[in-house]
Amino acid sequence: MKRLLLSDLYKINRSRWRNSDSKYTFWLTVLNLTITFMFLYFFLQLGIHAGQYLIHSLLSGSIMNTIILSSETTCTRRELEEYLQDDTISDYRLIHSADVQVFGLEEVAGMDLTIIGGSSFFMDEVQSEEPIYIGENGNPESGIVVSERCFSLNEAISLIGKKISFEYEGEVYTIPVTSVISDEAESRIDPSFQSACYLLSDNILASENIQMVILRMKSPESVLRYLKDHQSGRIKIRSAESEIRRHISLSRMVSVLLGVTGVIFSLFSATGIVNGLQINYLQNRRNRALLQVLGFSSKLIICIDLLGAFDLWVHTVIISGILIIILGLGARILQRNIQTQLIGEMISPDPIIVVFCFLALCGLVIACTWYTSRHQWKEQTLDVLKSE
Amino acid sequence: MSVIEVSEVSKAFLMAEGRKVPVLQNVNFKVEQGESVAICGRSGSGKSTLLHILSGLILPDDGKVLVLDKELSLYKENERCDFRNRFLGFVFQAFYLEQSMTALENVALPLIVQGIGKKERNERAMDVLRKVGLEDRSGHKPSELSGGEQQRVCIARAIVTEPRILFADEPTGNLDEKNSNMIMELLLGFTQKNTSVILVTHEQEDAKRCSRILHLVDGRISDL
Repeated sequence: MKRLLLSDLYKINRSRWRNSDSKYTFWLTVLNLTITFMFLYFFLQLGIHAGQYLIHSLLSGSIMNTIILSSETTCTRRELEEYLQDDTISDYRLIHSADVQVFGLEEVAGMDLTIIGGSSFFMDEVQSEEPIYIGENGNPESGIVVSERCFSLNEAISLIGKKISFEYEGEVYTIPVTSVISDEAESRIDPSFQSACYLLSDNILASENIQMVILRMKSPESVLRYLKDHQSGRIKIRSAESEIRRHISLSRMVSVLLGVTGVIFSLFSATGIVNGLQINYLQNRRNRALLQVLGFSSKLIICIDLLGAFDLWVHTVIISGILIIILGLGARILQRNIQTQLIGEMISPDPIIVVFCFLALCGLVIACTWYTSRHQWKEQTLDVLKSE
Repeated sequence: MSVIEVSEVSKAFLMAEGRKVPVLQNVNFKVEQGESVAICGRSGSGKSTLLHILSGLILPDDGKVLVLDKELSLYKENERCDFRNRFLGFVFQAFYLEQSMTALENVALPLIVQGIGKKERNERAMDVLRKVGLEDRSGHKPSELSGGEQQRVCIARAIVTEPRILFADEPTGNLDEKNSNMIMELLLGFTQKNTSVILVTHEQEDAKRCSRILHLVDGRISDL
């Protein structure tokens, strides 16, 4: 009884790939196949996130997914909850007047804050980290410090809860930041904390000392939709609408560019696959003729062919799996960064890394395809035909 | 005792334009056991086609071919493959060795079809490599061997199944004179062991060393 071993047939199959000029043809074809799938399916998704991220990084300080709700008069908790029941809200933050105070935020995005208010009320909650040095314009009695430098809104919000240090009559004081107010609001306040608190009453939103609500939406598009849906109401909705529109169109443009690049490179990569398969096809023809002469039946040769196809796909799936895990993780981090960066909770990776990764993948495609293209399949065809 | 009997064999190939081109016409000859026969002829005279018909790789349009008393055209493709594997051996001008396999693995290749285990395959392959003087080159790949050595590996692969008939298609075509002599001696030496050798060649010197020469002219055989 014949004991045909699968490993013998597998070895014959692999020898077909190695008979070509390059013993790497098999792996290059697998890589080309993998990259094509990556580009066609996965990288397009990554590209969209990368596009959003790049634009967001370029427009540093703009809060694209954020909406601020406030009211000139007191409103009920129920009224507020109606505004919070929306699928596109991914998170929200209630700003209590007794907790942290953010003053004068009539304009949300692209505004510099120059005054940082501090108080010793919450010294216990301050994280133990090095204080941020602000300057000499502080007043330890009122707890108000005028910063010598400008902060973006994003940075200003992130300062809340942190320690700052400033000088007053030659002494250095350190206090926690409990609130920030804008340059414009600063012109309206008395240089005393009490006066600042008086101004706050304009912005009290709910009777439960909720001063305002910062909504974090799932996307800039959902901000626009939210604005449209909740325009009429007692609660004011504030966002950087015009900037968001600009952001969306820029993001779309970058995403389309990345998508088009992805498709172009996937087509380019596909030529690498075709080259690899052609090389293998020619080797198969030569190999098949030899095997027939040596007594391999056509069924056995079909078995070897099927094993070859299976071999190629298994390797592609394994490598794709590994790459999907790596790139998926990358995309997830990017996606998370885009969302969390909006409230200044997370440090984002350098956009240069994203660009570098994209270019590296493109380079890999070019290298693989070029390498397999080096095998002039037409010459090989002639060679095989002559030998037959 | 005849190992090959060819009677009234004809073969024509259909061209793309639908025209039939006759390659072999009413070919008749016999080959005895242990005999060496050279088939000579110009390029395109039908030498390779005749070799393919004798080995059952292609079937004749007309006539009868008996190989070891079996009419191969009556057999199924799988049975012909099995027959070829057990009773026929092939040596090619271009060697056709698997470049990624060692000399030993190349020689053992036909034994895979017979379902022989790896250990026995390797032992038998090593035996024949010893016979062709390449025992010390068994672990080398074809690219590491000279033309003469590659042809000897090819011969070893052809005889590893102990065939009754050995077909050699221009076996010295790619070799220098010294190596050609060595290969011809090796091939014709098998006739001592009752193996018949069918040699397709256009080298007159090689043909003269065979016991008989068949000339193929315009698809017809002329026995000299």
